[in-house]
Formats: sequence, C-alpha cells, structure tokens
Amino acid sequence: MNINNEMIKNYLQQRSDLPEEFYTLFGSMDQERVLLFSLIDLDAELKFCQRWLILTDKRLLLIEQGQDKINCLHEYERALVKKVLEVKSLGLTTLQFLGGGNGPFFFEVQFTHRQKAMMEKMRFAIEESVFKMEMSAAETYQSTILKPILEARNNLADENQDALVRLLHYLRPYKKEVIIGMTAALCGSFISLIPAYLSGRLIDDVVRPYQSHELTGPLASKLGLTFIIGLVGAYILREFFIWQRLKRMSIIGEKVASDLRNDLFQHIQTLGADFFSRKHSGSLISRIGSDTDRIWDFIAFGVVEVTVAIGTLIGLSVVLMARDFKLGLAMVLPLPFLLFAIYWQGERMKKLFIRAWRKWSVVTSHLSDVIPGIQVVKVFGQESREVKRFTQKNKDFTEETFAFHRTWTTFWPLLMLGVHTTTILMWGLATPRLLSPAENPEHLTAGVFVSFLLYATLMVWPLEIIGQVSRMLNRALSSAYRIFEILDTRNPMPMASAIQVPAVCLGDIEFQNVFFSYDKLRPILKNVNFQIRQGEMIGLVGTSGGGKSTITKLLARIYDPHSGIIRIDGYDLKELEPAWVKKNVGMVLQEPYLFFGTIWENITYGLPNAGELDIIAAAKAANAHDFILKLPNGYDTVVGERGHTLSGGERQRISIARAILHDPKILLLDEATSAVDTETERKIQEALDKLVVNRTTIAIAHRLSTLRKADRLMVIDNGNIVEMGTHRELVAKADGKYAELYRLQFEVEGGSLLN
Amino acid sequence: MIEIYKNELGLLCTRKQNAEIILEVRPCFPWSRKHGFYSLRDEKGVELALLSSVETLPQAMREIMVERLEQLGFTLKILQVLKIVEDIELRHFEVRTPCGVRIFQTMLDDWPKKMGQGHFLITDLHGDLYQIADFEEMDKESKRILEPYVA
Repeated sequence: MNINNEMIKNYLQQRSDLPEEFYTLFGSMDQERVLLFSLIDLDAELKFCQRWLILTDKRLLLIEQGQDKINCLHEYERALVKKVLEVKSLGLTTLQFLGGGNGPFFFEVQFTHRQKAMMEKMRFAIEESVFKMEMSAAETYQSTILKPILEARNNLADENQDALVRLLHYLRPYKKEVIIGMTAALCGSFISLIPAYLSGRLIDDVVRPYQSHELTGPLASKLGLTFIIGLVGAYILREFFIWQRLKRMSIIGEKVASDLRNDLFQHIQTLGADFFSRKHSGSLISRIGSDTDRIWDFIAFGVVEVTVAIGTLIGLSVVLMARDFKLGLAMVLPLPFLLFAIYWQGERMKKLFIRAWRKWSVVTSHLSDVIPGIQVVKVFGQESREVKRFTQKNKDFTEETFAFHRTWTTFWPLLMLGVHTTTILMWGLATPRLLSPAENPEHLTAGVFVSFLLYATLMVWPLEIIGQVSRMLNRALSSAYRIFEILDTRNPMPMASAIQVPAVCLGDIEFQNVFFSYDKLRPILKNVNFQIRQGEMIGLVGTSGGGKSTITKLLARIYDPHSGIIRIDGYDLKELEPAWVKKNVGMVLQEPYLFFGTIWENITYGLPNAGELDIIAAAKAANAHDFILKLPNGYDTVVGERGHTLSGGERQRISIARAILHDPKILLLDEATSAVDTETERKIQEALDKLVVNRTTIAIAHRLSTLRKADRLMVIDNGNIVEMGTHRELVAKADGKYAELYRLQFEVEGGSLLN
Repeated sequence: MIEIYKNELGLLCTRKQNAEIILEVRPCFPWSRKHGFYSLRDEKGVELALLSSVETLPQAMREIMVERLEQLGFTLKILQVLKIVEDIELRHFEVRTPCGVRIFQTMLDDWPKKMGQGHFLITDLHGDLYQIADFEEMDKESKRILEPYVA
C-alpha cells in the first residue's frame, strides 16, 4: 500500500480509490476512461456515507458500495450535464447537476468541506468540458484530499520519519569530533561514579581501621591522602571530560546548524516561483533561524545528555549491584516507578502546557492585531478598551502559568521524597547489617553504605533527562521536518541537457502554441501564438486575470509552459542558460523591491562592479538622480527594509535605474506606473520612455495612456490573444474588445487617451 | 414582498418579470444572529431582497425557507470526544457526531474557538466545522479529554 493510501485511511478513514468492484465492472466498458472521481460523504439524511461521483469521458455516475455489490444510483451521459449549481452551507456543500438552461434536474449530492476541493475540480471539468487529465483519477483524488494535511505536515509523509537519521547525517563531516565528544561525555559520566566508590573505600580502608587501631596514624594519613588525591583526580578528570564534551558538542551543533542554514539558503535560491507563492517569507525565515537553532540545541545537548543519562543509570545500576547485590537491587527496583512518576507528571504538565500555550496565543494574536493597527485605535479613541481587553487576556494567561508552576513545584519535592524514601529504605535494610558482627556474611561496611548514599544523589539528574526525551525529540523532529521540506523541494523547471549560450541577444520573441495553467487544471493561457521583432514595443492589455502577467512570467522563465515553445532569437527558452536569460530579460514590477542597503547598492544589484558614472547615468535616465541628491546622504542613503523610507514613485525610479544599468535586451514592464500619482507617473513614464529605446519591450498597463508609444497592442482575454494591431487599427474595430476598453477609460478619465 | 417557491425540479426560486430565477440564500450573520437577516441573491450574486426574518413570510414560503436555512446552517456537532492525539505539527481528533464517527485534524496552534458559554467551534484542516454545543453537558471522559483545549 502506498503512503498516500495509508495516510488517507489513517487520517481520514476513507478509501483512497474507487472500490475494486467498480474497476471489475468498469473493465468491461468499451474504451471509457475515468477522468476524475470524488467521495460523496453525506447522504440525503446528512449521515456519513461512502458514495462515489465518477466522471468519465462519456458519463457521470454516482455509485454506492452495497453489501455485496456496487449500486449505481445515477448514471447520465456526460454530454447531457451542462450545468452544476452550488448551494453553500456552513458545513456542507450541495451540488445540483442540471441540463442546459435551468433544467432538467438530474440529481444532487451533498458533501463536507473535506471533499470540496476535489468536487470543485469535477465541477470545472464538467462545465468546461475537460476530456484530458495530466494525472490519473486516483492520483488527482489522493493529492487533492491530502493537500491540507501534507502542507500542515510540511509535505513530509509518514515514511519520512527518518528525518532524525537524516539530521544525524549532518554530523558525518565532524565524525572525529563527535566521537571525541561522545567519548568524553561517557567517560565523564562513568568517572562521576568514582568519587562515591573512593569515599566508601576511604571509610572502610582508612577511617575505620584507624579508629579500631588496626592502622597507625602516619599510615592512615598516607593512605587517606592517596584516596583524597584519587578523589581530586576523579573530580578534575570528570570536569575535564565535561568541558571537552560541552566545548566540542556545542561547536559541532553550531557547525551543523550553520551547514543547514547554508544548505537551506542555497537551496531556496534554486526554487521556482511556485514554491514562494505557497510559503510565506516569515515561515522561511523562521526555518533558517529558529528551527536550525533548535537543531543546534538538540545536537549540542539533547543527544549527548540523553546518552549520558542512560549511560549513567545503567552504570549506576551495575555498580550498585556489584558492590552489594541486595542493597543495589533495593535501589534499582524503584527506578521504573520513579520513571513512571516522571512520565505521568510529563503528561499532566503537557495538558497544563497546552492550556497555557492556548492562552498565550490569545495574548500574542491580540498584540499582532492591535499594534499594527494602533493608529486606528488612537483615531477612534479606543486605547482604554484595548488596554482592558489586553489586561484580561494577560490575566488569563498568567493564571494558567500559576497552575503550571503550582504543579511542577509540588511534583519535584514529591519526587525527591520518593528518592529519599529509597534512601530511608536503604537505611532500613542496611542498619541491621551495619550493626551485625564483621564476621557475619551479611555484614555491611560503613564505607559501602556511604558510597550507596552518595550514588543515590546521582540518580535524580538522569531521571529528569529521560523524562524529557519525548518532548525534546518532538521539538527536534518538528524542526527537522520543516527544514527537510525545503531541502526536498525540487525546482519543477529542469535544465536542458544541451545548454545554449548565444553570444548576443537580439531580442526576437516567439510564443508558439503555448498553454499554461497554475494548478494544472484551469488553463490560464490557451494556445497563445505571437511573434515580436527585436526593438518592438508591445502593449499587453485586457481584463484582470486574462493572462497578461503570466506571459511575462513565462518569458522571464519564472514558470515553464505546460505545452508549446517560447523562443528568444530562435532558441527554445528551456535550452538557454538561466544566467543568460536573467541577464537579457529584465523586469520592472508594479511593486518594486528594494533591499536594505544604500541607494547605490540597490541600483548596482546584479552588477556590483558598475562604475560611478554609469550608476549616475542610469539614475538620471530613470529620473531618480535629482531626488537622490535631495537626500542628505545622496547615493549613500540607506533605504530601510523593503525601501520603506522612500515613496512608491521613488522606489519605482530606483528599480528602473537598476534595470537601465542591467541593460537587458528584452524588457518586461508589469504595471510599472499603476500605483503612483499623475505627476510621479509622468516622471516614471519619462524614465521608461528612455529605458525602452533599442530594446524589445512588453508592457502591461491598465491605463492605456501609458502604452501610447507601443508599436503594437495585444489584447488578452480569457487566456487567448483576441486582438492584435496598432492603437488606430484596434480602435477602428467598433465591436472590438480594445475599442470597448478604450471607450470605458475615455468616459472615466475624459478627453483623449492616446492621441 | 419577494415570492419564494420551489420549482418542479426542487430548486429554490423567485419570479421577476415573469422569468424564473434560481435563488441563493446567504445568511448575513450565520453565527451571531442565526434567526434573521438573509440576503436572497440570483445566480450572479446580485441581491434581490434582504429578509430580516422568516416570520414575516407567508406560511408556505416560511416552510420552504426554514428547510433551506436548516441545510445552510448544517455543521457537524460533536456528541462525544473519543480521542485527541498530538503528532508532528498536527492534532488528531476522533469524535462521534450525529452523522457518525469522524477523524479530523487541526494544526497544533489552532484552538477551538469560543462562541459563547460552553459553546465551541473547531475548524479542521479542510475547513469543516465541528460544534461543541455545551461543553458542560458532555460526558465525563469527553470533558476530561477536551479540557486542556477549551477550559
């Protein structure tokens, strides 16, 4: 069973494919293909059920798994079903399948939101007469139904729970250091057992013989000194090994975290736009930052401490039983109970932690809601109301922390009481043996007993660490999952085997039978064909969502078309070296992005060795030079995060200067002037006019006036180029799409737009 | 007053200039004021009428609307909580509802939303809604399991 089937079964308790009986039945149907299917999980009485809506290239069927056979509840020729009506409810959706117009009504199905994404695909396929699917019906169903779960789990399925092992692979380059660190850790923990042993021997071999006059004073002193030197040596060695362990493992942890950060950042640069549209930048930053930090914590301390704790407990048990089996057993036997008590406490604390965490998330969401909106709070004079709301939420959280602290502060003295009870038990068992004559085989020496008492104090720490193993592992695994999700993501745009690097770029562009869809179902571009000659300026116009921006994204190779070919100077774009494409295809976006740094660093981004005169010339051409020099620090002015210290128009002109300096042969302008006032637009337009000279330019603009210099205009509607020609030619088409758009803007803005 | 009826196909409709229009009902306040303010719209989403209460409708229309509103307000009600298990990034709930037993997942930092005294709403990863009508009225074991998430 594949992992998707298993996840669907375990997580959603439903089938991952159509019942086998259906395929048996279906096999006899002549050349009919199942395109899509979906589970219908609610019946007419709104009880859970397992029915399947199946779309083939010929029919639409609703089947139900009966006791011993498949029942077909509805079956219609696909061509008859023309329309699907949707009734949205809070917790379910109803789809009604109808013929043309408002009837005839065939049947309706109801399902929970879990099935909605899949049902939307089916609805689209029915209404848009889709007869070809890229994936098999089962694959489409499984990936759609699991998508929210896989995304929540950072796209790591159960089979990838070897994340921890993969994480440990990062230790490989530091194998030697790890071996030294781990050996030091184990040596340190075993040496910790020596002082208690030596103390016992000191009492039995020196103190008591001296007190009973079996040893002379000088000899006892000499022997005592030897033991004390031994103790000093043991303590020094122990601390030496601990120092070695801490030093090496914390540095290894940092190295691994640094390697992970480098790998992550390097890998992120290779990923396609699709990935960044799915992931928030905040989430990526936290993966590079706090998740790698957690990994450091786990490697530097977690792995070692758990190993040392287990080693110490085993070592203690062996030593205790070797020294005195009965007494040792009395100390070792309570260990499982103490471990259980710690586990039980952990479970209790988990519940309290969940409560505190929930209340804390209320506090933080209040903060993240109110602080960015503080101006609105002030304008409406709601400061005291907000303070009151915050105080209440803060109080709720604080009270939870009281419960949390009450519990652990009560538990630890109780646990210690448990440990002390073991000590008392030891006293109880040992006292008669301590008082028995020395020749009694059961006699226990004071030294052995003292060493037992000292060993008892060593038990608490490993118990505590082992009690935290599960929490520590879960935290590290979560972080490892989040990191490996990125590292496992591959750029969906593979490199061609034979890479072309033409000596020069002329700027000829060709789209040949280009189809593209963001979700592989709803086509955004449908068989787009056009040719642009070098140096031409093309204006792309049309309604929002028509596919204009998609054309520029395909040309900049942010995405690849699903079928068809895009050519630059006759070369297939997929075969051109990506760096060559980046160098020769430049983009000016609607919302320019400036990095934190000086203005000149932002202008020279992509061309860091540009000369000062070139930079100034580019800024002048972009109408940016004058405003830059009005700033006290000129080109050395540091622009804040995302360039927020500048106005929108100023940021745009810097981005245009960047494009001018970059000097691409093909320039893509995506709504470059849409977000600015008229005066700024004029300045930007002037800059763009200079920029487009001697370049092939594709410009998208809602304001048709900005395209007045375009050689040709292409009107895009619903994924197709519906009109192409000069402004004059297109306006002349009385019932044309462009003429309509032009008239609408003319009415709104008044006066001449392009003349 | 707007005319509301079910046509022969069972679809909720109204009539405008002798043409039959399929009606869509959108409650304005699906949670806070469940019993009033419904926007009646055509297929393109244009509002044809705003109904402040079904009580103002004639008997036959009221029955049709009440039936539709019951369907629109449908959510899964949690009768019993069988299990809550935390996993990497996910929290799994196993619950009993009037429709049957259901397993669903939420993110670890998504919490049941308090809608009123003892009334909670859980939204799962797929967007399904699960209501706890009255926490205090639940069985002892369900309360014990749910307590950290709602108390």
